[in-house]
Amino acid sequence: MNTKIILISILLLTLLGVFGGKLGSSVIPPSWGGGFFSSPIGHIAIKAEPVHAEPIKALSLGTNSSSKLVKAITNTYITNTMIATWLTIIVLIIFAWLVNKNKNPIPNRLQGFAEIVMEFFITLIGGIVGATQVKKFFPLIMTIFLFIVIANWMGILPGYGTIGWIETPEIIKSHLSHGDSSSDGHSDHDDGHDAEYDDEPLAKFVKSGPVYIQPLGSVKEEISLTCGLDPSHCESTNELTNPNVQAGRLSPYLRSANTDVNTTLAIALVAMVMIHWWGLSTLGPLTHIGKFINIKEGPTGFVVGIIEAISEVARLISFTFRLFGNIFAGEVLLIVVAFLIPLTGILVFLFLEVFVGVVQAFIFSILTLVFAATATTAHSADEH
Amino acid sequence: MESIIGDVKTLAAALAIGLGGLGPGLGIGMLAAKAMEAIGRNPEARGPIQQNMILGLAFAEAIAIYAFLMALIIIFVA
Repeated sequence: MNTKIILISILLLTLLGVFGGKLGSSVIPPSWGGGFFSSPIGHIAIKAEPVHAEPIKALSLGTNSSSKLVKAITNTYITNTMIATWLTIIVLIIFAWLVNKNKNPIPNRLQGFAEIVMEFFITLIGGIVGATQVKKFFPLIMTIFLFIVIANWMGILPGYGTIGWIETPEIIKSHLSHGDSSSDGHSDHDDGHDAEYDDEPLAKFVKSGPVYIQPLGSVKEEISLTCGLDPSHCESTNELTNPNVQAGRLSPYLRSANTDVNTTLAIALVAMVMIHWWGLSTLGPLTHIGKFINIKEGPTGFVVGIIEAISEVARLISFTFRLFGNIFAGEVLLIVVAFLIPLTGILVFLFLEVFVGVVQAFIFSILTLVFAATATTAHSADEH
Repeated sequence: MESIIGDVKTLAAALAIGLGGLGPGLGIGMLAAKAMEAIGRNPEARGPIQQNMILGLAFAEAIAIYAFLMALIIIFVA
């Protein structure tokens, strides 16, 4: 297709989006027609959402107790980030199988691409730890990089965060009052209505064929949780009594894997355990622990050792939250920009997300490598 | 009373990320400036300088991520 046609159509769609989205309704008042899409903003949640309403009964160990601790341990859900992790693993396995199928000294394009990536990392790791030790560190560093970059890139594919099941108001209420939150019932801000209800408005879904969709213009009617539970309590008239209309919240089937703190925490734990394992196995337990409980160098050495131990914990936390914060902030950014400028506002930020995805994967793996390199070298010889 | 708490929470979150972004922003700018200067003085060492700069960027940006995290906690959890 002609480049001019593509560019002109993108420009037209952008104009449509600017004047039709939330940004447009601030520039041109709605009474004049600004913001004619009036589409609602997506729901932003920190916790990963489960894919099914009830916890898996088979894993609840037969307990029916209502204590929160037991329920926290045995209430198992499959979350959407879990499924995204599995999909990432499947993609990586398929890629590895395809590359290794017909290995050839003269590589075809796929094998050549894999060789470029591996050679880049082999030279990089060799530059940091020395060429003889590359084989020790390479598997973990490469795996961390590949997993994080493929998980981040798959998270911006269409379908992630937009296709899901509807959490009806009854399910939302049962999640609130079953103590999934950490409040223990007391509230210091109730003013007549039950303070356990959250006050974010629900979205309206309209049946169209076999699926429910969120129609345009649905943001004009705000549906609160009490309204969704009992349509007679609504403040404005809406069509909730129509059987084709469902109020609720979209809970996606798929969500970018690293938007879940659990995923990033898991990768960070693996990295820190391996760093300490390498330290222990290379230096011996006495030398390695001697870095943290440092009696040889007097009281200042001891304090420095304590600070080193604290900084190990700080590294774990910073690994986790650096990756989580970057990818979760990217997801929130995409949602908000798509709300402000629909249709084309999100294009530029998708490029940003691609870049951030690969940079964060690179940073995670290289930082693991650098910490492992410092953990496997003995205390430096430049004494004061 | 609840509306005041809601407004203060929003203000708190905005201040958290707003003020918390000052330090890392300055830090990343200074880091990148020094890296550019070093590349200008020695263009052959571009590779190692670039990689070490990205390493330093990660540490500086992590502070901004902590501030962002506090803003999120204020809005969604507290």
